[in-house]
Amino acid sequence: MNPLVVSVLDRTIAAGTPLLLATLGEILAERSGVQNLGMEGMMAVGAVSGFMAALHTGNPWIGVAAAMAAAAALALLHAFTAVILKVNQVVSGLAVAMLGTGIAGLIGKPYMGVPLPNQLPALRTPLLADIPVLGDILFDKDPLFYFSVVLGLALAFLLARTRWGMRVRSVGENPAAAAVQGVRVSRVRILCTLAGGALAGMGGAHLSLVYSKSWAEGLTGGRGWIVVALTIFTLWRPLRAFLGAFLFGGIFVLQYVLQPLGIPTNLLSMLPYAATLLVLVLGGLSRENRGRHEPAALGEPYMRGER
Amino acid sequence: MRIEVQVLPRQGTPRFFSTGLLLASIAAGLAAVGVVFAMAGVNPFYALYKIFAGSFGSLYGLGETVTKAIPLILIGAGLALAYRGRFWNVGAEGQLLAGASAATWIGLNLALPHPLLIAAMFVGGFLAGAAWGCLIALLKGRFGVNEVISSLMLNYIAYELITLLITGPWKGKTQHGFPYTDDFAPAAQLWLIPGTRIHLLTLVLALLTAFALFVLMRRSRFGYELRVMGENPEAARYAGIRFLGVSAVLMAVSGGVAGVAGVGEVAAIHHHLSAPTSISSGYGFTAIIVAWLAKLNPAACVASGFFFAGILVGGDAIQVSLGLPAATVQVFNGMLLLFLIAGNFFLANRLVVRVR
Amino acid sequence: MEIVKALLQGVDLLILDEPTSVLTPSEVEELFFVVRRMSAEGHSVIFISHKLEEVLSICTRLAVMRRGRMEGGADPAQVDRRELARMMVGREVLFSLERKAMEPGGVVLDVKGLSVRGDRGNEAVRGVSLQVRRGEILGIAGVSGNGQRELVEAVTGLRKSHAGKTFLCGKDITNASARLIGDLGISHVPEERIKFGIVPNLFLYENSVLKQHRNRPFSRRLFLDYDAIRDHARGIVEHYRVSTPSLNEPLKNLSGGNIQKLILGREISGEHSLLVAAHPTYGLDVGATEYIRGLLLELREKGKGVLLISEDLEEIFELSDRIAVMFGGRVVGVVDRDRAVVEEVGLWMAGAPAGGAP
Repeated sequence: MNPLVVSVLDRTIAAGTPLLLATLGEILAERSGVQNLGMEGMMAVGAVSGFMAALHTGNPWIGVAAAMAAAAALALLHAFTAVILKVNQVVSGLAVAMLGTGIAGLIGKPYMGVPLPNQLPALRTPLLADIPVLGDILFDKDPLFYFSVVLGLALAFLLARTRWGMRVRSVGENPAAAAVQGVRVSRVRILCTLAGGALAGMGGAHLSLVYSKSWAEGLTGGRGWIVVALTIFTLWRPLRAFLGAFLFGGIFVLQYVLQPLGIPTNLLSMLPYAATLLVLVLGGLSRENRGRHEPAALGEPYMRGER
Repeated sequence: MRIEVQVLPRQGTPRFFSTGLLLASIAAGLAAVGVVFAMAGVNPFYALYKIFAGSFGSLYGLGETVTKAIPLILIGAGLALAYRGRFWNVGAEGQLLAGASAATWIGLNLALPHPLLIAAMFVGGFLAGAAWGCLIALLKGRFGVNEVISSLMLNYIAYELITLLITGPWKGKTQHGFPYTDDFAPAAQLWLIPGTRIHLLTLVLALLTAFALFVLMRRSRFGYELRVMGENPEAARYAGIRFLGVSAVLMAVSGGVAGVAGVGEVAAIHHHLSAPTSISSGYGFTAIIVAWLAKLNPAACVASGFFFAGILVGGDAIQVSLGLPAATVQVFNGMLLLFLIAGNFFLANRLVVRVR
Repeated sequence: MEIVKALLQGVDLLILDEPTSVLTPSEVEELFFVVRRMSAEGHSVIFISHKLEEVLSICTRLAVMRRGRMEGGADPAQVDRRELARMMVGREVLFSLERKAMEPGGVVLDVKGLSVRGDRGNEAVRGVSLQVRRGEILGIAGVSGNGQRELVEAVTGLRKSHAGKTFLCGKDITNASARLIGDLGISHVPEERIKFGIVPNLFLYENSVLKQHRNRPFSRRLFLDYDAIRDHARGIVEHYRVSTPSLNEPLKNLSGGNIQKLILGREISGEHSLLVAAHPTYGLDVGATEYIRGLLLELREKGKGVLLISEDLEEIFELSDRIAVMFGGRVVGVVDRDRAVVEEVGLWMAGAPAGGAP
């Protein structure tokens, strides 16, 4: 097969992995009823913390852990204001996004352009990696990719078929009924938001540790917002996140593929953002479909005792 | 011994409490920013002192503060209006740039006497910003597209479009290869108060706009429908208020005034169109906090715009002297917004602490 | 079903809060049977209800709460409805309303074969036909969830229908906008009054013109005339005895009954020929309920048409000239009130066909 195609597919997987991680995280949070618009900030904070930690300790895994912790800390702010203080979730998310990107830029300044010596080792699956084309693309990748795939499948199963999943879904659909059944609504929401943030952090770590192996201000480039759009696109179903994440991974890669064709670079850079709009518009054409899948209590603060 | 905290809705808020809470939120936010500075290795007290000394401590600083307040007041008032309708316009950057682009084209291509040219630039800038903003309303009304995402995407698209223009068809022939358009002729430039960079015309426009939008919101039919839509969209539907109509007008106004701010920037400060982020300077995002700080009252945006302009001016000063990146202002933005909305919680509720 | 769930978990005390509000009369009987059994087996039951007949029928001890305090206890075998109501409200409450005999006039609302889809894509209203005349109250009885809400939304322009037609005084208003329908003369007191009928954070006077704000004298071209609006609000507050500290009170601070009075006053005060009232006395205390029922009868006497939707059979029987029952999205029976029998209506509510065996 054409080596260019192989290379494109290879890079698509790499570009899509952070999107997949973060989208799965946002799906989890939104299924519990919390709209987390701060994804961009959490990915940025994750990317910079992961990079810093990996650089200083020489261990990329510590980088990943640091990224998840930092992003979760940011998510805690949003969870606190959104779930406990019950403020408007849109504004809280926006504030956290701005804060995250600001902190990341501030703290990351000294690390711009510094190369990363120790990278996450690629995991080669023994037999499968030897398959001619697919082997290189799918089975010789960084561990975070495998984790994201497993997570996606696990999340789909957990949400649909376990009691835990039912509890999360009930909190997002009808928190009052869930509370009557004894579910601790606030606690579930906070935990889901934190988990979503941690996953965004992991996605950010992938960006700085695997995808571009460096830190630069604006590394996330709006991916966090694209993730929020993707969550709507996936109709809050984890399996569809695969489609969305790698589709957009491909769009990011497409920019570089089309460059030699003479198309102005700025038009190419617009691709992911225009594609996001297109995806949302297309989703809007079948609004009833979205209405059926959207968690009914999404974005609404739950107040105990309210009828 | 057990401490029990109960949250109760607050009935009636005295004016002093409201203002006091606002000030407390700001102070807490600034303190938190100080913590972040400390984490980044910057002395917080020195930094904060430098910021306020830089912007309010000298005549030059004051002048710069007023200059930066102009776009903040304009955009902030427009955002306050939008947010009253619960229409989360985060795309003011793109709307500002749309206005700046229109003004650039008009300024460079239309040979008109100065007063007419300036007028044409402002009108064109308003219309361009209005169109860019209206697009967001159409996407939401017709396709249900979340306006936060669409307005942000349009920002990114605007950045790329402008960069495309200034490195391509609009590239200045007199700019020695720099990615700028040609400089504006004096006829296309706004008069500045001597010794400062204050463009008086736009300042007056900003003050008038803040007041006009306040009146619009309080006393007009549109303002009433907007407030109903923002407070209770279901009741708005029941009352026959059409979302698409109201939001289209809303975004035209909100986007248009941001466009006017763009005209001011390009015609008075830069005198050409250059890299988008240096033209918009993050005003579109800072204005969000300006609007929120003003409690979504367009007239109060004058005061909060001035306050935030001070932070920006001071921020520029320490950026240079302390080597902090441009993203620093986002830390201010995010932190203060967070504390403001958290403060609102205490406005609406009170805590009853009981020790058993 | 819920009770079975609770029993399976082995409860000692069962608390039932307004358990019969969504049940048909025969289902209520079943519930009472189960509750009596449970009580006999030694379980304790707290039965919370505002329906006097029910508590008198099933309880062994009564307690009356008003404004967060215990007003007193009573023995159901000895106390009577009037006295209970007095304890609940604090004053003598009359239970019978004056109902003048009226000759219904021309047809105001004519619904022909209307079909409407619900939120989840299901057929919520299936080919419903009905008519409301001037000076008549048509009461639609039925358990919530059988298409009443969607029918009301379709008639008032808040939801699109996909088949059938609606006529107002002969004019075709099928799928017209809510704005147009309101202007043409349909007033609507919505089911969830706080969610749909008012803007809680706005002031009382601002809420008093919610649908009419576009019309003169409240608005003149671009601007609203707040003096006229305040006068209008004052009028409603005085005429309908809305209890409020001032016109500038945020409406959310008022009690449910006063909010409903404001909504009703607002809807009645305009030029209209038909009032659609959906569950108008739901959740209101006895005093407010009586008052609002009286208002509806007054409207009827003034020659307006009233489409009343209610789950409260007592209310339907008290107010309606004709009673229609909705089940499964269809009108399964229409009968004149004088010839209606509670048990039969109850059977229709539960799905039994009209005039046939259950």
